[in-house]
Order: sequence, then structure tokens, then C-alpha cells
Amino acid sequence: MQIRISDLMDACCPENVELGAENKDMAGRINESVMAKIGVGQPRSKRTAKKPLRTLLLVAVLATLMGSAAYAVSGWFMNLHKTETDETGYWRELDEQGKILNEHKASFPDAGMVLTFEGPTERRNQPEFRCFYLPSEANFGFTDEEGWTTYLSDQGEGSDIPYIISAGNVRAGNHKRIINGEVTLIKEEDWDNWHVTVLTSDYTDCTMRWNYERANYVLLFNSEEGWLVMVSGTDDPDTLKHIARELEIRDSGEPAFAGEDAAVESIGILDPGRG
Amino acid sequence: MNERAVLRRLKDGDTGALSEIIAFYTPYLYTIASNVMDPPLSREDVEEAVSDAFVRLWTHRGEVQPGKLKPWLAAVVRNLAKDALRAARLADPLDDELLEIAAPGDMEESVLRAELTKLAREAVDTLGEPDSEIFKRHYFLYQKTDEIAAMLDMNAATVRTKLRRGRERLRDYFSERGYSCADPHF
Repeated sequence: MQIRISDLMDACCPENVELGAENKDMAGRINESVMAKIGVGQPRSKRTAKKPLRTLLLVAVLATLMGSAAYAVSGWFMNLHKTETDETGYWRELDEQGKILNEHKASFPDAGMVLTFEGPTERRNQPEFRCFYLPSEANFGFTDEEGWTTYLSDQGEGSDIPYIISAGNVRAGNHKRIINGEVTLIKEEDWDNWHVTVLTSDYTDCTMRWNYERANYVLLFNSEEGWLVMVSGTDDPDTLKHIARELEIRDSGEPAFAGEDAAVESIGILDPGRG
Repeated sequence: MNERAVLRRLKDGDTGALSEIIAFYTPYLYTIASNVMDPPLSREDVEEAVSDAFVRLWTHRGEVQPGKLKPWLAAVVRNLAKDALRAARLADPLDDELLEIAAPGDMEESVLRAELTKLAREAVDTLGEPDSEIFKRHYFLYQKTDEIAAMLDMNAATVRTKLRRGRERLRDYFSERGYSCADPHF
């Protein structure tokens, strides 16, 4: 690995060294800038553009589940189940009002992990986020003037999808989310109110796949709000974690899309037919 | 500034506490960002890095421990300034200090980097004073040798010699712990 000495010195701040002279004008400018960025004393701005909501809800009958890990604190529970069997069902395409636009049978021969949720059923507000670190420029998704959004992605070129960041509410009941491939749990940890799950999915043996080998996922689950923020992509897990670390997440003030019970949604980013 | 009290207020979401921290630490952070962005992209760019550091403090306000605010902010603004340099495709002022380091076995890059950062701190601390401070001023605060010499009332050549010895100590420290370390400048 090539690395500069200065890059190894993050923990070497000479704390006894004082620098700079008081500058009230500059401090005032920076204070004003910071307060604007964190939204203090500013009216909430309108979005300049917004990604059209196109949600694929996949309703499936899920068979044998093998292995189970669960996380819960208060309010909401998230369960991760590994599965090694074919899953079948049908999918519904819904508009924002929940009206069925399209419905087809679907199958999930490559389902590797299923996420299910338990918790309150009342309608909640949707989370939104803004990024303070991205390894490459986003080229899909729209933000408001302050950078807030619910979806942002670098769709990449060729076979890579470097990253996709999405934020949404989980739903209790029979709603399930599927990740295809041979899914391996890399790590779980807690960042303040967020439970972080790092997964990697090997697509090598998938029957339905493009030319991709692997996708990685960093799932941030807030059990108090019922929020799931997903940073996924072909970038390595450390890079995705870095993105996740540098997200600011807040209540958007907008009600979450209610959807339906008994729905299953594929969240595998490399699945044929995605997006 | 009572750091413990102001951090407690900050953690509770008190933006007044954030303003106090901004007033106190802006000159310090601005100087570090200016050093890294030398020649500065512009005053606005430097101030942008500084304000973003405070925004991150707000975002991560529950994570900063009392007594660690200064180094936390310094490390953040330093990295933001370096990111800005990279985004503008400008060379790092210390760009020649490149090491080629190999771990003794298979090690994830992020793990290797964390381990090397820990070892670097240990190695620098073994230098003793004033060598340790000189090394930190140059490689953390990005101060030039002339500036360090003036601050510490030394000859600039002496500062350069101490920096060279510090680099040698760093390389030896890594090597003694099984990390091969190559650098054409050593």
C-alpha cells in the first residue's frame, strides 16, 4: 500500500500548539454559513427537483428460512434471515397513492437474505439525508439547495455501480426485503442511534445475473424511528462505510409512502431488471 | 471555554454551544486549512472547509469526548482541506512523502491503515521533545520548516535534520514490527 506520512498522522495533533489570531468577522461569516448548512434560522427550502418515485413492491411467498439474526432496541425490530431456497411470488408496481399500476408474477431463485420488520403500524415521516463524503460524483438522484435527498447514486460506467444511497421507512407486518446472491454478514456495530449491518453478496452462482461478481451493503437501521438507510454498491465495504459515516440524516417532515402489507421488495442492486 | 459543559450543551442540540465553539476555534482551524491548501485555493475555499468541519461536529456531536475537541476538529478540517485539494486536482504540499508499506500477512487496507496510524503516533512520541513537536507541526499542521524554525527559535537546517531523523525513526519503527517500508527519500 502506498501512503503519505501525513496521511498516517491523523492522531498526531500537537495539542499544545496554538494557532491563529482572533478574527470576529471571519468567525461571524463561518457561524452564519454553519447555521445555514444545519438549517438553523432558515425556512425549509423547497426541492428544486425530485426523483420520480417508482417503487417496485414484490409480493412473494417465502419458503424455508435458514439461519436468523435479529436486532432490536425499542419500537422497531429488524430480522435478518438467510435463505438457500428458491422464492416465488408476484410483484406490484404502485404509484405514490398506492394505486396498482402493474402486477406480474415473479420468482427469486437467487434470494440469499431476507429482511423482515416488526413494529408500530402508524404512518411516520420519511427520513432524508445529505452527504459529506462521496468517493465519486453522484450522477443520479436530485438534491435540494442544501443537499438533502432520499436517493443519490453514482451509476458508474461499464459493469460497476459504485454506490447507491437510499433512505426510507421500514414496514411491519409481512413486508420483506430480499438481497440476492450468497450473502455474508461482515460486521454489525452501533453508531449512536443507528445499528449498522455490513453485508456482502457474491453473485457468482446466481442463475439470474449480469456480469457482476459482488455487491456490498451497509444498512443503517434506526429502531426508534423505523428508518432504514442503505448504502450499497460495487465499491468496497470500507468505502461504503465511509459514505455512511459521513451522512447526516433527519426527519424530512414528509409522510412515508404507506405501501401495502404482505409486500416483498427486492433491494439487491445488481438484480436484472432493477430500477 | 468550559469544554465539558459546552459539549454537553452541544450534545443536547444547543446551537448556541456550537456558536461558542465556532468563535473559539475558527482561527485555529482556518490556519490549519490554509497550511494544507497552500497556496490557498481562495479564502472562500478555506472558510468552506472550516465551516464544513463545524457542520460535522454538529452531525457527530454525540461522539466527541471532553478534552478531545481540539484534536478532533483539527483532524477533521485537515482531511476536509486535503479532500478539497484533491477535488481541485492540486498537489498536496507534502506530496513527496510517499511510503510503500507492506503488511506481514494478509490485512485489509483499512485495518492496515488504522494499525499504521497507531504505530506512527507511538513512533513520533518516542522522538522526544522538541523533535516530536517539530514532526507533528510539519506533518499534521503542515507548517513549513522555516515557520517551525521561527516559532521554536531554531535554524531551519536543524528543523530539516530533525524531520529526516523522524522519518527514519518512523521507517525503523514499522520495520521492527514486521512492516516492510520503502521510500526513495529515506
